[in-house]
Amino acid sequence: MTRIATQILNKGSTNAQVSPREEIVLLALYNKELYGLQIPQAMEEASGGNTKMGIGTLYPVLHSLEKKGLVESRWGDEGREERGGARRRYYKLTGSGVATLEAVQSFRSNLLTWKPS
Amino acid sequence: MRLSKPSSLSALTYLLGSPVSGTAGTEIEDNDWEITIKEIQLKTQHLEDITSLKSEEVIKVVEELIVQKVVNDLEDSVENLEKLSKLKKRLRKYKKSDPAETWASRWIACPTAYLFPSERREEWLGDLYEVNWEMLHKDYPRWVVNLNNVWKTVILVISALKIRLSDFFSLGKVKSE
Repeated sequence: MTRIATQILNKGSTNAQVSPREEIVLLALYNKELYGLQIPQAMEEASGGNTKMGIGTLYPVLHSLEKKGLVESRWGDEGREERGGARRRYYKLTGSGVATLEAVQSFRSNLLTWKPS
Repeated sequence: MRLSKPSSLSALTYLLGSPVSGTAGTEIEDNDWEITIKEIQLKTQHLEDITSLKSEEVIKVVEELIVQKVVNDLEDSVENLEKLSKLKKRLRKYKKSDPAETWASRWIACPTAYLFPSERREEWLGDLYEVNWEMLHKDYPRWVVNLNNVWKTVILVISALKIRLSDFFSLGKVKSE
């Protein structure tokens, strides 16, 4: 997707620009709080195995979304044995994240129903 | 010689001091009687000992028995506790060998984690360990898990570089603005 297209996609209530990958992550986090490994799992299961995202792509995307203020994160309560005692980091959408995602979705639905006058 | 088992009634009457003579079904010679009586006396000797004791002595014996039983129970419970502590030690040893840790995660991922952003280190390493744990529980061969671990570590290093570069350029943008 080109830069112009992403700018058009974001023609809504927020000025934040999101890439297609960022948009998918936003969609995965809509109305729920997930930790890192659950996001690729959600994508894979929702697409029937067609869409996959490795951790090498996921972490920079999450970092970028956090910097844009579209996603916020918090540490899980306790370290787990299966994680070598490390805590999980949970991500969820911020208010502007939800607004951005809804703007993108409304643009897409408008585009689907648009007809030349 | 004709032998027949003495009836319990005849043996009892003999013990009470009235020898039986001519009772039906008890045609036994004197020697046989003596053997039988000796056997019964041997079997009931402990009863005679008890009946010869006075009530105070009986109480003492019972108390001693109770004390002995308590001591035996305590010894048993000490033995059980020792077994339990041994089992706990074994369990601790088992816990020490982290199920998610592999050769690669210990000697490659952990030292390389210092290249990761400090605020992400715990999360990334934790996720790596969780992937290991899942693979090990799905019975993947250990060498596959190690290989996957090395590959993921390389990817994470590249991710760290991407993040640093994006931070650097965004900082440059802010400064230029």
